[in-house]
Amino acid sequence: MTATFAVLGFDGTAQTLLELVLLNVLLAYSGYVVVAGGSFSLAFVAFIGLGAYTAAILSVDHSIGFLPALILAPILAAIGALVLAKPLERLSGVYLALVSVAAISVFRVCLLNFDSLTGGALGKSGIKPRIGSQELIVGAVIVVVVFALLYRSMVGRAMRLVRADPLVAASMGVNVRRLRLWLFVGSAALGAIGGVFRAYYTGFVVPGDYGFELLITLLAMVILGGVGHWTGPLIGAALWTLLPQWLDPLGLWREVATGFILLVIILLLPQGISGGVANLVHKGRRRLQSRRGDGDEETIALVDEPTQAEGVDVALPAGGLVRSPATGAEGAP
Amino acid sequence: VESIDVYDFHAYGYEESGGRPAVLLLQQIVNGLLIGSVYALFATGLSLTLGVLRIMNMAHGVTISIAAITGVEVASNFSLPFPLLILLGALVGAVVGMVSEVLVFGPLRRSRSHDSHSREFSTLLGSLALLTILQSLAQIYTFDFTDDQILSFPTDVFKSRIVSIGGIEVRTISLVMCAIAVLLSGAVWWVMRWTQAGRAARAVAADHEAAAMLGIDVTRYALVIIGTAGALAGVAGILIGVAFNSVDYLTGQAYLLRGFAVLILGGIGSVPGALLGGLALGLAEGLTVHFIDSSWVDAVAFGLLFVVLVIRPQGMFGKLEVDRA
Repeated sequence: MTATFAVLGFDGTAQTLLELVLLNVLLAYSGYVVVAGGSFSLAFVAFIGLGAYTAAILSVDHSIGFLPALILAPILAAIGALVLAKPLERLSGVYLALVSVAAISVFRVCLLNFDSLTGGALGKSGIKPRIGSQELIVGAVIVVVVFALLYRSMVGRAMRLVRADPLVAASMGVNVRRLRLWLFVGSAALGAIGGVFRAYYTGFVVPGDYGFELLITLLAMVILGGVGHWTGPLIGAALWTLLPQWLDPLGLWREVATGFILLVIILLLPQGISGGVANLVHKGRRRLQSRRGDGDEETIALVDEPTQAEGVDVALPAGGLVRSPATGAEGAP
Repeated sequence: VESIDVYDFHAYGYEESGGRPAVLLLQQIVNGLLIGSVYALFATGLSLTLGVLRIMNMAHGVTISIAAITGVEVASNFSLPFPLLILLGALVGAVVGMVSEVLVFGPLRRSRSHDSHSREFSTLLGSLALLTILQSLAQIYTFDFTDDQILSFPTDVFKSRIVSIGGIEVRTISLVMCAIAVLLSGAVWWVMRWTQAGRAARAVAADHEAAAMLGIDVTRYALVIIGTAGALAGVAGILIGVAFNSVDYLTGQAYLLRGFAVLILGGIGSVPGALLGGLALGLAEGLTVHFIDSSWVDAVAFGLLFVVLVIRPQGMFGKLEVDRA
């Protein structure tokens, strides 16, 4: 593994970089869950912090290890999310984003002020035993596989449909509110798991690591990779972690370059990298089909427009509704 | 040079007032309202861009930093009178806003490959990218081109005195700050409410396409709105810089988060809401300092949001948006 990375232009820190990528993959999927469901609730960062602090407090103050924390933290986060969901569920769009940012700030202030529990501004250090590549690989692989399976499942289809058009989703029998509630709770639980991994990987927690900056980083990863496909956060987290390394010779200008690259991707690849690739694949497949002349061009035309807008196969349910008997390939969700 | 930040501002005059609880409370209320007026000024711009153009501009806070840093640099080299300095801030802020519109928000608004949801999200992310760029530029500038990473205005920019009214101490710069902030917010409200341009802007807010069909040049209005919002943030930057005597590349971030809080308190797109919301937030912070502790200022301010949201999700002055599904 290290050798492969060395070929790509990295030095001895390749393993550290790989570990950082894996860690960020774990965290990025927490953001992906809510964003892919078309929701703006960005409070998942607070739940990542909750997970990390749960792990830290259990380990440092009570000598309780990694695995119990991995079970307890998501349960705590899920309960917290259910409580928070009540006032949030009436909000939508930018209001939700604003309140999420507020929730993150409140969480940070609480971390700073309940210092007998959280260690205040200094945080907590000495989380033991530290985890390394193996645990991170196992964690990241499990999460990625779960999301790959989820993408093909009914829930995954419902998620994409809700993001594309909540009204159509509701009319096709998706309970939009309930789906978003469970995505919110799931995102919180997953975020807490990521937080436990992060705490055990770095060995310490400080309040500043779980605020606005983490939110920006994770959002950038999710949207860089693209929310339309399960590989999005994987690609996004890897690129966003490695990009600063490649740009290292630029010194302080590195951040400026990172911002510009992000901007260019947003402007040119609005569905992220995975969405752009999916579009290319779709176009190629369509060209092949029309060259064969299967006589199903009407169906393709109907499927085509929403697919263009959304990047991936959110249009499949719609295609299922209007499909001509001749093709019959895709069913409704 | 005396350097104070937001928290110190709330504590200003605390020791001097002789420790009488009633006077202390009044002092906190006054301090809160004074700082609240700057929140209002900043939030008015935030509210305009979000309400009219649907842009949640994360880079709005960094405009404060850029204007303040420019102000410090200019004021240190040329002896500029205070009103001209304010104008300079407005100009810098307007330029930052317009450049971001031309380079980022405009292209995203016109992009055909976005539907409305992904456009809203791309705009949010675009502003985050903009924030990264502008903040790093400000950081590079302060780290590489100035002796000190924390800048301050020369003391002769504004000779502030302390006025004492019934035991409550107020610096004249705070009064000027409050007056300018309230005046500018009021002016924006008047333009939006009573002029043809304001009516057109409100039409754009209701529906971009419909407004364009009625012959309103949406592109031009977007430029003007963002320019105005940037100018307000620029003025806030100069006022904050002069009043608190401490400017660095992160100065604006604290105001960004508070600006969002004010938006929810006042209702998105409502200028009087932003004004009253700003004052209310400042007041709430002042009372928090008095009754609890200055370290809880952020939490109580944002805690207030949750209460408001449960009672009135559209904000105290906003109209309820009917959203499908």
